[in-house]
Amino acid sequence: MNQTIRKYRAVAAGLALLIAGGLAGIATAQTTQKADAAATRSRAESGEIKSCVECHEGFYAIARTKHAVKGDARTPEAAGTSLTGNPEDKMCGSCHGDLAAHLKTPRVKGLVPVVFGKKGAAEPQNEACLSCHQSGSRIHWQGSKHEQTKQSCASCHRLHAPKDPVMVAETQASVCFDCHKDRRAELHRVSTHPTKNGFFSCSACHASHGSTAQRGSLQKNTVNETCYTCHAQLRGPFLWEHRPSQDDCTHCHNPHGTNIAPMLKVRMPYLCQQCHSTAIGHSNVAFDGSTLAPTSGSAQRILGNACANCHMKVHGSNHPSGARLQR
Amino acid sequence: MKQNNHAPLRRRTVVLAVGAALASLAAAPALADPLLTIKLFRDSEVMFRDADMSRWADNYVELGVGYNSKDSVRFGQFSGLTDKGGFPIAGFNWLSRNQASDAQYWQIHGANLGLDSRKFKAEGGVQGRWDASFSFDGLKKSQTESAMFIHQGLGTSNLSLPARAWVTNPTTMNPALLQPFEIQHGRDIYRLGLKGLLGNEWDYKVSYREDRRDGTRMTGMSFAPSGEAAILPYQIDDKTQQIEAVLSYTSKLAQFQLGYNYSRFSNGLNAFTVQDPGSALGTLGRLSLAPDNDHHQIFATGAYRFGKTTRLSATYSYGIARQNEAFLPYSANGTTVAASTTAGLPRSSLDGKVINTLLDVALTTKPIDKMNLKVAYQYRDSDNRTPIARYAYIGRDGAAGVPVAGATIRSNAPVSTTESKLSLEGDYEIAAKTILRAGLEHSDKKYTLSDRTDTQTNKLSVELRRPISDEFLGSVGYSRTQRRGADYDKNVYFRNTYTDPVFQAGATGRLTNNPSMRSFMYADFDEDRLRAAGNWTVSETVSLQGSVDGYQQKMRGPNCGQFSDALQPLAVTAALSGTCLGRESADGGSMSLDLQYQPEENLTTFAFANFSQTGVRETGRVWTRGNASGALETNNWNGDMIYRDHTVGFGLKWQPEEKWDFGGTYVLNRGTGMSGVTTNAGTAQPVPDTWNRLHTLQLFAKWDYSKQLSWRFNYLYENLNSYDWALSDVGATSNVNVLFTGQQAPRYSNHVFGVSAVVKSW
Repeated sequence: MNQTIRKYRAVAAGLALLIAGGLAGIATAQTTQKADAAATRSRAESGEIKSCVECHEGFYAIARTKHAVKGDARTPEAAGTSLTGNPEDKMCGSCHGDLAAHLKTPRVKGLVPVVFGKKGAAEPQNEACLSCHQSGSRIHWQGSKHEQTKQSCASCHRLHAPKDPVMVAETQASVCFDCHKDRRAELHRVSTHPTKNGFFSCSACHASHGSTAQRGSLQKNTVNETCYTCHAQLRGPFLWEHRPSQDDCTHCHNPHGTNIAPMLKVRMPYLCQQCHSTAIGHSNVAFDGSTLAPTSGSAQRILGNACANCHMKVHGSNHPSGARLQR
Repeated sequence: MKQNNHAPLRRRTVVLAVGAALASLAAAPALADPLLTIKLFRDSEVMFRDADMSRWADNYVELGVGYNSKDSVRFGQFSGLTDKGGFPIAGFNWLSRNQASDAQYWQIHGANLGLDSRKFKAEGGVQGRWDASFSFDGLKKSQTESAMFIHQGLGTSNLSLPARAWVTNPTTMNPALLQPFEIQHGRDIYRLGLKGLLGNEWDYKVSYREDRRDGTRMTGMSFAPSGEAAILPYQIDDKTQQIEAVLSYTSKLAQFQLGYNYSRFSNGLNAFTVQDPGSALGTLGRLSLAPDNDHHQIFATGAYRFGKTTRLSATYSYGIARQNEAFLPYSANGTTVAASTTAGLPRSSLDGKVINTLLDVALTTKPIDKMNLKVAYQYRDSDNRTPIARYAYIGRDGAAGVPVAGATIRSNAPVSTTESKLSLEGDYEIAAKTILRAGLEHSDKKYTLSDRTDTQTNKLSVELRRPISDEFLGSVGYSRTQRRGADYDKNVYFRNTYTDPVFQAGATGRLTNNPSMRSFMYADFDEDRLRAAGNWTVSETVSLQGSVDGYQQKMRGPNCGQFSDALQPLAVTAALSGTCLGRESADGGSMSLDLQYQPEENLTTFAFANFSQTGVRETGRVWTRGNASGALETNNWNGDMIYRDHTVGFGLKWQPEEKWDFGGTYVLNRGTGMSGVTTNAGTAQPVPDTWNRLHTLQLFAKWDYSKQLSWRFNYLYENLNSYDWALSDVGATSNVNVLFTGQQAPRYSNHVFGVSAVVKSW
């Protein structure tokens, strides 16, 4: 009881700190940004603006990215043309299109040919990116799930940032969770891959740009091929195969996380009884509460590792006498 | 089934989350971007969409100390932070990129260098010409510290006993013989990469990855002659090597890739040998460990654009998976067991081979301005060419007197599958930003040596996405999947592997496997899925996202209680009721609500709640071999397995003034598993619920002492409490047939503090 009270006290203390932080934010509200914006608009109207970054200052972090490397002839910085005469603007038009009209009348909406992000249509955005990036995994972009649901490249990628979060294992999931809320919840279950620890990104398994996988836009052709990237010990072929394991790991496992270790969808022995009811052996037993008493005759089949107390080779056995996956 | 009686806690949790979200909503302006937390606290990065990327973009060295309040193997499951006490915090990033002229760059990055789970990466090259990289990931996987064992040599692949461990069964064992042993293993991953351009349109990529694992995991193991089983730690010492080489061609109209993948798994151990703890003779039991295997694959992918809106892509891959590890003998006991000396192996190794072929062709086009279409065909073939032979089935190494014919002979049954799939998908913009999508898919799958020879699956899906207003986008979708197939022959596998006693002269018993069983991976089913989602941008600073989805899958036989097998004795047929066994249905759903509030650039808050439930209904029947009465068993049973999860979380990042950053996140996962078993006889006793509560609270702060020096302060509190009837309160020596470990359902409550200095610049 005391432990429970201490636990909730700790949580309450944390909450109090968070809420205090939020309330303090009210007190420190600032209006300077609004004033800056008004000044910039005024300068635009008077024709003083000579460079994109005069208004879009926050976006010039792109100068630290690969897109801004002059020595690489493929980059917008090397191949683009400055519309303002300012060399700092060379790369903007490469992706955003002809910005001349926008520079003349920056307050008029609709003059930027390609607007990235949610405000713009996905197709022109993606065309701009794919004009250089159709190779590699993007070969399968057309017709992919993300393309079909009208996602743009900018839905996931941040091109102006010195480092794109979706390209880093530790931060990638936060981008994916923008849409895949259920996956985020699953990640906070007890039995998961080490995604929260930064060792297992979504793209370790999934090809977000599309693929030829049977489902799930996976990196490999099948679920099992994808799993064998890290779990090659389960690939076999074994002398004695276990059909569901050989067919599709997700028959039994939810790789995004469950509360039944190791990422099982259903607890054993009930997991196994979805397919097994044999006369020789015991998989036909109704494992009710009476079987949980350690002294029960069926306890050895439900406690501990349940069926796997004896049939531990559930992914296949290579023992000549392993027909029942016991050896 | 025991009912879930935690509603008050659930209400409190929800109220807590909503309250915090409202408090955050009430907050206003002027805060900052997130901090550089120490890498242990990666959860923060996962939670925040606008994670601070300076750790990967800026040059810095971070050094500090942390303190973990308790020993807990389970708490440090992936971080390696399993021990109480202090630990170093160390990391760095150093990037040098020549933006101006020659495009040379290099970067080194290290994280968590003071922990067992850590990372290092170095890369460099000339952008646009070549890039080379090397990385190392060390990852610890810790399972439990509460397991105890009687054997000696723990951590090795040969376990022995100090003395005969028990008299008649585990309950008679001397508990003083049990020794604790932590179950954990490590994985070190090394990667090498090289890529570059070969002119304007060609490029290449070569990569090598090596995974090395060592440590222990737990396994069950059964023994003869004692007839007992035990849960034991087996040693891991293996290596996986992977090579990928890809040559690519890219032009405006066409793209092409030709590649090769190689993967090889090498196990330093081939067997796990253990003395039977219940045998006075010192009889050995032995498990085969994962065999060495390799996989070669070549692939070619290409696409060509016809006109402006039509694109044809095709992929072909051909792979061979092989395995030829030398077999273990039938018994580890040599001449001590008669059967092991009389039964010779039909082969010395498997010479297993599976050839996997894939052909995928897709055409995407835009026939009219507002319509997109995709038609695709996919052919998959998994041709298992593993030789079939007859092997003696000897259940355990110490089993004696096993005949080498009749029911104890098994043939292996390598399964081959072939699948052809045709799909048509399209969308049409029926009004401004209102899109109707529909899809049809037909799949034909053929199997050998399986419950069915073929199945056909059809899927229809429709979705409507429509903006309700400029601020609200909604979508609703529905899909129906239906699988049908050939007659079900549940015993084909057994019939192909050995002769069931029921077919032997004079036998009146029943088949080994109940012919009414319908394994869900083959069975007919109808599945309906419904999903609705909405995204509401309330204002420039507030957005709400919500979704709800559900599915129901009903298995449908076919022909349960009937045989297609002409060989089947009538006595068996009469015993069948027509009820399908196994998974009868499955359903599930989830609801999710997200709130983001960003009143100013420097303040980010979020809150979310997710509820999900999955359920499976099973039907079973006691199936007694040798019961020749032909009458139905009276205690048929049903099982309803329901798993519920509630996950709530919230957090904020805030910069009250230029030099200070604060933030925190809190997440609660609360899972409940219910197993309801009922019998026709009405005598079933309830199975207790399993449950877990995982609280994670993280707080962090950063103080910029100067432009070059920052201080970071971190606090992590994680509390896991759980109950699992398979583990909780199950003593190691409590069962007469299995020696358990005494491992308990995981519980821990850890506080971790960290303070570090970050020196920036260059």
